[in-house]
Amino acid sequence: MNLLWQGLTISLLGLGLTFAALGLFILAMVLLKRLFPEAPKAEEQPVTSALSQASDEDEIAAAIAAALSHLQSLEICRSGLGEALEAGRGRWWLVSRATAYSAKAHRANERDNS
Amino acid sequence: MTEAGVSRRVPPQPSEQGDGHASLITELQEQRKRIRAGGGPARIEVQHAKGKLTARERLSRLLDEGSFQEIDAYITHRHSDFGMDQERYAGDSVVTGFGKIGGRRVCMYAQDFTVLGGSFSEVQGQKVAKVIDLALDAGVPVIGLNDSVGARIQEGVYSLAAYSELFWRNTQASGVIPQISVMLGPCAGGSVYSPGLTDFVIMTKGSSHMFITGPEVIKTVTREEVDLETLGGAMTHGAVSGVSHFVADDEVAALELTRKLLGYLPSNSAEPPPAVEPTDDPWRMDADLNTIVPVDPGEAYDMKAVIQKVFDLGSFLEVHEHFAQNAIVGLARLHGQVVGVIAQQPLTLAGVIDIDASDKMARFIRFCDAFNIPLVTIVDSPGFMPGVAQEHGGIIRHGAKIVYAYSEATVPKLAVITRKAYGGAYIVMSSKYIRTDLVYAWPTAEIAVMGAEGAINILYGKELKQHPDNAEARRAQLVNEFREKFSKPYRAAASGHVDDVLIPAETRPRLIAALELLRDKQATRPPRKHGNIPL
Repeated sequence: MNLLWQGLTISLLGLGLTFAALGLFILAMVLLKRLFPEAPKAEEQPVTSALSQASDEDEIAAAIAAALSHLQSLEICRSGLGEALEAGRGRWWLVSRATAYSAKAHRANERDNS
Repeated sequence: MTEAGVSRRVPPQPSEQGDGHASLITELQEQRKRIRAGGGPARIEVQHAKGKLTARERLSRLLDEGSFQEIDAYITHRHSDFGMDQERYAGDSVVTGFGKIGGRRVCMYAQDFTVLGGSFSEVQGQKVAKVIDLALDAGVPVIGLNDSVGARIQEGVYSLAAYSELFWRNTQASGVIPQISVMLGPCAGGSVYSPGLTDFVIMTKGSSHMFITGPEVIKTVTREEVDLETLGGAMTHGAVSGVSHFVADDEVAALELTRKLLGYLPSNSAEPPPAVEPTDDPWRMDADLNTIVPVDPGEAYDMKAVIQKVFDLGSFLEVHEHFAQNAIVGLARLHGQVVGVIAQQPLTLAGVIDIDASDKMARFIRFCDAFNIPLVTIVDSPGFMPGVAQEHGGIIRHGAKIVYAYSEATVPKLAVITRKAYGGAYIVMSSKYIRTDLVYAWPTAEIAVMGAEGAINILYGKELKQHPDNAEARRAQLVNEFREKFSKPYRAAASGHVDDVLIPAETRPRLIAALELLRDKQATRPPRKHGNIPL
């Protein structure tokens, strides 16, 4: 019986502590909200199309800007393709080849000697 | 004359030298003149009458102007049987030396038909052996211009031994320096094995013939009657036997082709292949590629058109153009870099892989790997050719060569599946797990164990037989379901068997980018004496 009472006491104590901690968190949140209130939201402006308000010149300018931006993005994504090929084989290839050849020669020598 | 008193192009005349030396120089010049005359004006006339050039004329056409340096021009044979003591020519029946093609060093030998029919003598063997040794030491390609009646009978075993020396050297040089044989006349008997051992054989229509035994011997032994051209002409070896990799219309075209071919080859196995300044936009995306593969899987299309649109414009040099046309192999450029292209041709036998196509592809793959040429494979094959003749002919052994060649290749390997990649054809044609670095597929790719109809017959054959009344409708439904599952590449991509699915037009930039990544690729192989390819 003693063990049962002891178990129940510990369970109740644990539950009590958990809820007490949660209560403290809620209290802290409420306090923080009061201390740092949210800035009032700016009144939403109605969405209007820039193009619909723009004059013909503005439309042309916008089109040119869009085309330029598109071209620029193409240039960015296109830059560099094939440059590594134009540069020729790199050190990795040369070193690996040299190592492979010397290892081969070493093996051949060992074979000859044996 | 230059400041040093030495003319840049023409040696000074004897009169300009000291008196004591004049006669020596004159004698040397006389000797040179005699050597240049080969077998004499009458024989040169006969050679020209046949529409053929002499050995020296061929060399001057092939090599950069003024670059040829002759060696062993004074050597003569030592035999006297059968009146050979009366038939001694300085330099004997071959001209050997070195020069340049497109500024690149090459070693050369040209058989001189005007001297004893260009017959292969002990001395010719020694001269050719020396020039191959030089090429091997210098790490430069060796090119042979062949025009010979064959072994010099009067020299007996000495001539045969000289052949052995040549074949041994051809084998030693294989995979170390490129070897090209240009056939400009007859080549009969055992001598055919030298070109047979080299990397590329170029034959000339009408004037070049290759065979082990001639029409007369064949008639005697097997009673078959065959003419020279049908037996061993350029088109026979170019289209039927596959001995010849290229067929040229005439000698000049053959020599021009040799120059062109050399432009794709490195000088030796330690060097990368020669790159050129890129002339084509790496980002060129041909919209025609998006619609080039018909939606109907039974409809054919021209794979060569795909190749032309993907690789640098005008750069594709097809090898074995007339042989096993269901497969395509050749050298091309991607952003100026040399690549080996292997593909199927759906226009011929639906791109099926047969014995000849296997041999053609496997040999080409091994050549590219030996000389550091990256491989780009374009796959559209319904599988291996069925049939008793193929099975009895050893399609298993021959087909295994392809998978062996791809598996042992350590150069960058890229693959693009344009449509069918069924069964064995999928596996052997540069699939992911035989270590292809990057495998791409077009949205039209179908990767499956077999075609939809065949698969449904096997999987649902019994069920379809049990309900014959609505068998056709059910079959159509099942075929459609199968196609829906396997006629798109996304299932293969989802499991990593395909690295990416491409819009066909973007194949070119994607291949260039992949090639760029793999520029310095190094793959190791376990040490061994050599592998055992199923020959």
